[in-house]
Amino acid sequence: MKLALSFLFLSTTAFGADIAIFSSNLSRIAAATTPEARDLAINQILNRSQDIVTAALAPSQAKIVAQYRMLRSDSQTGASSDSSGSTSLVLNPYLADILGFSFESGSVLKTVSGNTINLQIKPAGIFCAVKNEDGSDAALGTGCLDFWKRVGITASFDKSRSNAPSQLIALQDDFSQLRFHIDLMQPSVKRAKEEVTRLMAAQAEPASRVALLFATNSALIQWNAEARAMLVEAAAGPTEAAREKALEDAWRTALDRFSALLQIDPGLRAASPPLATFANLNVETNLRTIVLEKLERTSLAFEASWDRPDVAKADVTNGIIRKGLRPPDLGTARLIYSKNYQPLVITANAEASWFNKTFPGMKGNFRNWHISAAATFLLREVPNFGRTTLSFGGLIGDLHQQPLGFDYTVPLVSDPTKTQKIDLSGWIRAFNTRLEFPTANKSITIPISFTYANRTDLNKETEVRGSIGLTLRFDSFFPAK
Amino acid sequence: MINTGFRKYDIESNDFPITITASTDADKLPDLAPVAFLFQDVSSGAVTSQEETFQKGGAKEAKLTIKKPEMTCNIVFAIQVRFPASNPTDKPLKLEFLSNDNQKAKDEIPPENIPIVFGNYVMHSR
Repeated sequence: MKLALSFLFLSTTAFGADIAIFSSNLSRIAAATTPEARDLAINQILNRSQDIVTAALAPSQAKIVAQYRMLRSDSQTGASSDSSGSTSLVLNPYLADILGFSFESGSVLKTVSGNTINLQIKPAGIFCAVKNEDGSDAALGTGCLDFWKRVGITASFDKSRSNAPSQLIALQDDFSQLRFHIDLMQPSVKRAKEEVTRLMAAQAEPASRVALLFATNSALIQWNAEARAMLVEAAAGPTEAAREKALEDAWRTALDRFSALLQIDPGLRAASPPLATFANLNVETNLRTIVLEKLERTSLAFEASWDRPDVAKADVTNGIIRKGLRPPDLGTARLIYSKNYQPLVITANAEASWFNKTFPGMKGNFRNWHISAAATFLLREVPNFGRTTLSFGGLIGDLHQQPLGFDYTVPLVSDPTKTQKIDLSGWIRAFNTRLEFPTANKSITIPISFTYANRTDLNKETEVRGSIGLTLRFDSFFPAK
Repeated sequence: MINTGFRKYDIESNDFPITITASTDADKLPDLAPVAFLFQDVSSGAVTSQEETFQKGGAKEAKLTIKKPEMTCNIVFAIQVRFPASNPTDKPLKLEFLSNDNQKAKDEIPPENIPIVFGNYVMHSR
């Protein structure tokens, strides 16, 4: 069964009902090769009383998508730990649906601490949102370029590095990193949790009452007969494609008539409020099921990034690099794994970096590797704000050679005419605690993190650091229908 | 118990109890919600409700019993199924209705492109 969010994206208006949730039914009618198979498929669609009610009375796609986005706790909007400003020791696997922005101050593992602006886009998300002038179309499962919605691009700008007051290096260029992200795995689905069971139980009696209404109300019995006649006529087309198109039109018309009937028939008007209550409950049950299934899963993403190193704009005393000398660019490959055990999310990263060229004295291209993991606890959900999250993460890795590719030499104190080489390679270990406060249904979050590290990239001394950020997911800022 | 149409049956008092057996050819039985049976008194039209839960009989089967109502009633109910995403589209939930006098009726609820699927049943008392 193809799970897609779109099937729940039902029109809230009385007319122009969305028939997406009935597409498998309509396809079965169109593909039927015998009158018996056709009649069975027509019976099945007309028997879906609860979905007919839901299609007529359910909330809009935009509202559902907004709730869906609020429930997600696995998005990554901020910069990676090797930026001058970051609050994330471990990256999450999913990017914002359309556009994300973050401003973070204070580094996690970088010696030169600063401010980083991180811009994140999903080209397919932008295309889908703009194409239909509906930001909710950027969500996964709406039927618009769903495969390409796995792909995201992130650019980081270290805003403070062009005037960093570091003794080690002076810097001249803001653009620091470009990341290419792709979700690799649509993971296996796990069982639904108690919440879905509870919702299913809660709607058991309302569902039977809907069935009773359809079985006993004369207006609905007549509607059923008319809808059947329309479907039978539409199913008589010459080709399967023609039949499917005619069936879609006929079913849309039938649902519109049903919506109108709820408004004009006195007996049904009285039943309308409980039907609307049922429709909302049914949508919530389906939505929670989908969200749980999407969240309670193993996720795997791959990222390739291109890192532009810091460049000296002036000779500095004890500087690692001389003015104008450019360290080699870095290529990084990263795997991001997460497993959601609500209210706990386990995330793990593994990454390795390579210099894009070597200089004399370097030990090849390989620069470093590290692995990291975090446990994120989803705290209480505040209505209209979202869930606050608390993470504890750890990282261990090894700098295989000098972090910028150059030997770092300093004059000897005893004899300034001579120099000694400082070895900056070696192990790196870090521990991080991160608290992320949401607001505006998680469109805006404020992450705060504290990091203890045995060293930073250019300094082998223990560091304890704090950093703070502001992240914005513009998904909900796009107009929605 | 006589099948009179799609998910419609005529029932008599000697049909009770009626056992509904749900099974699947997929790896795992879909989740089945409790079923609220609505009993409509044929003389007064009054409706009462009674909820029953499917009892699992292994990984691929569950049973539920409709007990004999105290008065002559029409029975309307919705079976609510949550198909997991891994459930193949060609593996419906199979239902078998077995009356006390050994009459059988079969039905299937196929997975649709939403997780929760309802099958609505009407049993008219004769």
